Amino acid sequence: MSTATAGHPAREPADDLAAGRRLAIEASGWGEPFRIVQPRNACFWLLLWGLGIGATHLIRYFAVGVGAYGTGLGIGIVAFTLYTIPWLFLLGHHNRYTSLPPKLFAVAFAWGALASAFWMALPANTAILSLYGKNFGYGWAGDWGAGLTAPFTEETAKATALVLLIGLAPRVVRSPYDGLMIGAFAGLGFQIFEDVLYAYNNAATGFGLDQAATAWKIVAVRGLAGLTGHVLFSAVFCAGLMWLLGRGGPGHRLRGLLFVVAALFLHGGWDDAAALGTVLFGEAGPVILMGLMVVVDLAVLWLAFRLAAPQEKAWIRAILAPETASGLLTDTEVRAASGDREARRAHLKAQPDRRHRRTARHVLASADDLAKELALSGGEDSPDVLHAREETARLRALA
Amino acid sequence: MEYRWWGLDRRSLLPAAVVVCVGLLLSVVLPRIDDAVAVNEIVRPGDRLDLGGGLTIAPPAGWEVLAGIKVGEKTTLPVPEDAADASVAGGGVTALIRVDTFDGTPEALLDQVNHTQKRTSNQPGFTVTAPPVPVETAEGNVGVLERYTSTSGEGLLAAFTFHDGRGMSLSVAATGDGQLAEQAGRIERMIRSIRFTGKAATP
Repeated sequence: MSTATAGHPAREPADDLAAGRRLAIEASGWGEPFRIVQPRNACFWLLLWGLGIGATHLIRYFAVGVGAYGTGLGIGIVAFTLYTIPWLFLLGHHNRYTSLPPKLFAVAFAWGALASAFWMALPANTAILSLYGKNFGYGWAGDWGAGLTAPFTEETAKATALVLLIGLAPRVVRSPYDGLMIGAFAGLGFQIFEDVLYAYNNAATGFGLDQAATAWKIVAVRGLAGLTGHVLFSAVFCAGLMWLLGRGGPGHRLRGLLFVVAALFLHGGWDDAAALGTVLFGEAGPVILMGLMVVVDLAVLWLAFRLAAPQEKAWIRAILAPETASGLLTDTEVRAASGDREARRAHLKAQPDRRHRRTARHVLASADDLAKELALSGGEDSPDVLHAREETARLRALA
Repeated sequence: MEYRWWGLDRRSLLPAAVVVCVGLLLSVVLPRIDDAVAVNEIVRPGDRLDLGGGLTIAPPAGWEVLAGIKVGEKTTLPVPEDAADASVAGGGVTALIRVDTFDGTPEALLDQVNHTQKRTSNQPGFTVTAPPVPVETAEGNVGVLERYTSTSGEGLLAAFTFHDGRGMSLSVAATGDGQLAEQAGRIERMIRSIRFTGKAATP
């Protein structure tokens, strides 16, 4: 029911819902186009510069020994390229709610691989490890240097992908969930190229005689360690950075700082697991600590997801809410469509039989499409939006 | 309000500046600081470098340790037995010591090191100038030693193997204006100092 006040026209609830929809679309940046080539944007030129200089460093690095260690390098390239594929599926699966354009992830991946790894982190790591050795002794540097270097240099270097993309697509990159996804892709690019570098470096093991066996060992070890490695650390770091920058709503800067610090600790703990595990738990310590770190890593990532998702869910709810007024969707369906897997599962489980469950699944999928089309149209009734609505109604009628 | 600066959108300048600052800090400033800080790990008389699994070497006193752990230096993790690197420098020459698993003779190890050197570009023009000659450590382990030249100077390569399935290559590089000859005595004493006790090194 609407009421009119003196000097103000009456507002229908439907108007409020439509306004809420427009605000949600604008705030989420969903549907905003992303162009890489933007000659008027300083970040575009910086992107070209960073990728160019990173690629130059990469070529110089590998060119020195490719003649001697080509087998190790070749196996590393092939194996880690294959290793990337399931990662892309996994991360693509998490690109949900107000999803980001794949082009943006391609930029994050490339920046993480070339600029973050080869332009920034490699020279910085070499310098800091050398400084540690000079000042505290090579023994100390060997024990603790990696864990007190890489978190600062590498997490910062990877996070520049997020800062660059904020500059390139300020209307698209809006939420901690966006930070989480961009961080994950930058981390993946960094990790894969670092893995190849490890395969190449370790080809010199055993004086370069059995490069294939060494390279496969690196593939196994780094592949396993990578499951809770760079992708996870930079996802957490970049989600934290978004909260810290105030992009996750007001009052969450401390949360952001804690996630940033947590990512540094997780990275440092992993890199110093051998020495730290030995100090804490004795000879078997490294294995015990690594096991514990995996649990803690996943718990922190889960928490980041859990805290980043509500903002995204609220946007989806606001985008779909006007559809309940018209009766196209029910409140329950909007809640399920804007919810996580558990919410969707609960909605489907609540259906009386298999036939209704199938219909409910289809209606939820069509609601996803409708929300996306609404985002692309800016909330207007575009032909695609009308088509999506018809599709929802058609699928429901099948029940 | 003017949104352009030199044709660029002003709003893009802050994120770009942040990335440039981080990039320059990591890729330029930190390496410059490292270059400016001198090595202060100097070999004192009697110092030996721990190469893992009871294998040690005594570099010339007064040389700088660029990489490697001295015997007796307190560490949480022991020097790995299967792979260790060390590097020392002094008098214009640099010595790189590499220990790793190797199943074969010193001659075979030297062949392998030569094979690798010829295929890497860190010493362009690498050419062995004379056939290898035997070289013996003070404890009687006989290895092989050869001389080489490259476009960046001259040097020598030595190879030893040990009964626990490891090998050691020692590569000494100089710029080619007499330092190698000048330091020959010290280098020879360093090679003779290679010692393998078969158990973890103690001070």
